[in-house]
Amino acid sequence: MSVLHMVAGIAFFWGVVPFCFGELVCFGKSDEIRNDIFFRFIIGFYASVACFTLVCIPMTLSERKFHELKYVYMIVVLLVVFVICLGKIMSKKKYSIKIEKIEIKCWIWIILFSVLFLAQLFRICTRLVMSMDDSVYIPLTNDIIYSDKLLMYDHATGVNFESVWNGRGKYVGSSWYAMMAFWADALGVHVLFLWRTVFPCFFLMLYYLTLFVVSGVFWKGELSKRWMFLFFNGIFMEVKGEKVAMGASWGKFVIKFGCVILLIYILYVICKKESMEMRDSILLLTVTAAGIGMTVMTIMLFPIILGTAAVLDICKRKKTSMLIMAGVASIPIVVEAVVYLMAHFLN
Amino acid sequence: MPFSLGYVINVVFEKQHGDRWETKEHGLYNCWAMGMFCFMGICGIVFGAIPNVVSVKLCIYVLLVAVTIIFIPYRMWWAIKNKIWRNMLDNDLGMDIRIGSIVFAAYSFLFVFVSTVVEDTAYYSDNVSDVLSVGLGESFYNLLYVLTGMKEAKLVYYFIPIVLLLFAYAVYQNLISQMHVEKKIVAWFMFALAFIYLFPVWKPEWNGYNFFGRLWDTLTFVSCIYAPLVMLWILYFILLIRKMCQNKRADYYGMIWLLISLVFVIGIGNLCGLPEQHVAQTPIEEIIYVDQNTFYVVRRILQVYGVGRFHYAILPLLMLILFYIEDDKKSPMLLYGFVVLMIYFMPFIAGPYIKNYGCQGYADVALLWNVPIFFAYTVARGISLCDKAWKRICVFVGFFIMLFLMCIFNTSLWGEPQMFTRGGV
Repeated sequence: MSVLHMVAGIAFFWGVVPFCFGELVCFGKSDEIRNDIFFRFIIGFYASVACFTLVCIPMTLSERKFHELKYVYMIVVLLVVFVICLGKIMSKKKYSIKIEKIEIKCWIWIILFSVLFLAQLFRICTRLVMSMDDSVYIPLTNDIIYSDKLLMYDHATGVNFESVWNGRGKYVGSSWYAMMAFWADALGVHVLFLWRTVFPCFFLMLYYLTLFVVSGVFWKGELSKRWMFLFFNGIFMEVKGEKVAMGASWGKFVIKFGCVILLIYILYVICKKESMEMRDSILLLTVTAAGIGMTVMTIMLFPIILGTAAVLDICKRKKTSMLIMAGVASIPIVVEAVVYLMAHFLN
Repeated sequence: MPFSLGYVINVVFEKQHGDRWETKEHGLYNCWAMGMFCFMGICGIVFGAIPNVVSVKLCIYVLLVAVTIIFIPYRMWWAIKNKIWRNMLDNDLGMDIRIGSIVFAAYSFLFVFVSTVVEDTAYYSDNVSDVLSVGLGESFYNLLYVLTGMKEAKLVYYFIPIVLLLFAYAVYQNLISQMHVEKKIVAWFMFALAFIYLFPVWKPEWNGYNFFGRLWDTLTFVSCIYAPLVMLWILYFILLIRKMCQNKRADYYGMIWLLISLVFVIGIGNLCGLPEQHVAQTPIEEIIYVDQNTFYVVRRILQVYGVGRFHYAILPLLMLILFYIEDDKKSPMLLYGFVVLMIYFMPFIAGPYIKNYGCQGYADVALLWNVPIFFAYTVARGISLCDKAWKRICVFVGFFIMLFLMCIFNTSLWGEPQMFTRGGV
């Protein structure tokens, strides 16, 4: 039963929900970036994370219960899924999956990469690799589940996290712990299992998927080379393979694994367009909002990336549209920074 | 000295190409920056790989001085002979330089002014010693220590920031050189802001230091300068590659330029470990004491999230470089790719000799995130460019040989063999 619970949870929260959120974020007329079903899935996943963050931070600051957070988020998620499904049913547009003929040499790279990927998954599933940080992440996430409180206080001692600089207070604005707690609850698994087995598998898949999407820039219409790129990337990842297993569960590693790559990809695609559309800033906004949910380090990291893209675009086009979009995308970061500072001010 | 090195490089390429970028487009500052890239890169590699060898330091010292003595007069003679002083002045002392000079002069004044006020550096000296011994080991600072005879504290808090500021200025000047005057003004304003934002607000009772002490500490906190510096370098790197890609021919000059600027990364890589090490080295009592101080939090955001983690931003930005390269298929990408590859390979070669955290921090960045994508891109691109099967096989086999070598060299870098192991705590 618990396995079924987990599989159903994964299928819904990391399958259906990302696709629905992806459809929501990529609204309007299709273009190069929005046509890519993999991109829609990836951005949809980050959109679901962003949604959780937007719900979680106010509830954390207002000291609400964890179960209330779960209900609110579930209502939002179900609403989105319902609306998107209804829209799909009502829409007269017919979807057809176009299957291109794959050449033999492409199959070779696909098989090579698949073997490598499966080997990585096998290693993750069969070897439990722990690190020192787990002693913080896992107990804190368990605290949320079993105390039904969000991370404002240490439930063991009752001490306000913001009163002691112990490395935990910095997460007040991040919903990562609560998100982990939610997923562990939703999937019906222990946090340790989620943390060290389920997450690395999922995020590794997400990472390769992101690279596959990004490789379209390098080899447009050349499928075999994109798979080749994935394969070699996997080989190099293997050199430091223990990090794949160890790191993939932390928020900051997820950021490094795919979120920043996706952000820079979106920036690139936007910069390549002849005329920028302001709706593109929603894509950027989604990634930045998801980023702050995962780790507070995005307070500086994302503005640097966005600012760099804006400066480059100003140099190239002599227009400020990219700067404006970067500014819009930075709103969640500014909010996060304010929350971060307020948490210390109010203490 | 950096100017001299820049001249050397320029003169060498003048002989080969009859080309001279620094007078055509980039200006004198480019020359200086090029020399600075090279200087720091050499220091980073040599002193990372061969620590505590005074004779090596002195050899380099003599070499650099010799270069200075020989090439500055040569350069002056060359300039007079070719009657290019006027052009150089026209190019270099334009509006951007004047505006930039004002901004820079303000900072210089601040540095000098504050440095004369602060007298008690004993605390810093001890602290810096700790940081250097752990974070930087025997690399770049030791050379400067030998060359200048300065104490460590003075070196870190007086000399290095000024050099880095000069460097940042040079890079930034290049970056915005193509802009119109109005935008240059805005750009310089942003440049000023970029450094002003690094000033935490003063708190008089903070640790008992006076205003100038705290301000100076902040100003000269080396890590604070790295973030904008490295980001500027990356921006410049992008522009450089774009410029090279626009050339129809394989531009060896540009390639070597790229090589030099990448060598710089290794030099700066040796310094990478400093920010977090500094935080880690700060006595715990002090951290708890200043915890209540909101401004400490501001600083912490800047240091840890902004600077300590800045290397996370390098990966996507380097990917951006790849994107730009891909805009022009005619560029000799494979060549550049292998240059990048070679540079990233260097830390592995030097690995067994490098024990300090600084380079490990760099290697961590390189190994985990940048290298896989860059390597994979280069190899995949290499294979796809081969027109015959045997060439593809050669690239494929060469890739695994290189990987094997990398693993071997990497064994000592982390203190234990990493190849085929899945270690953990």
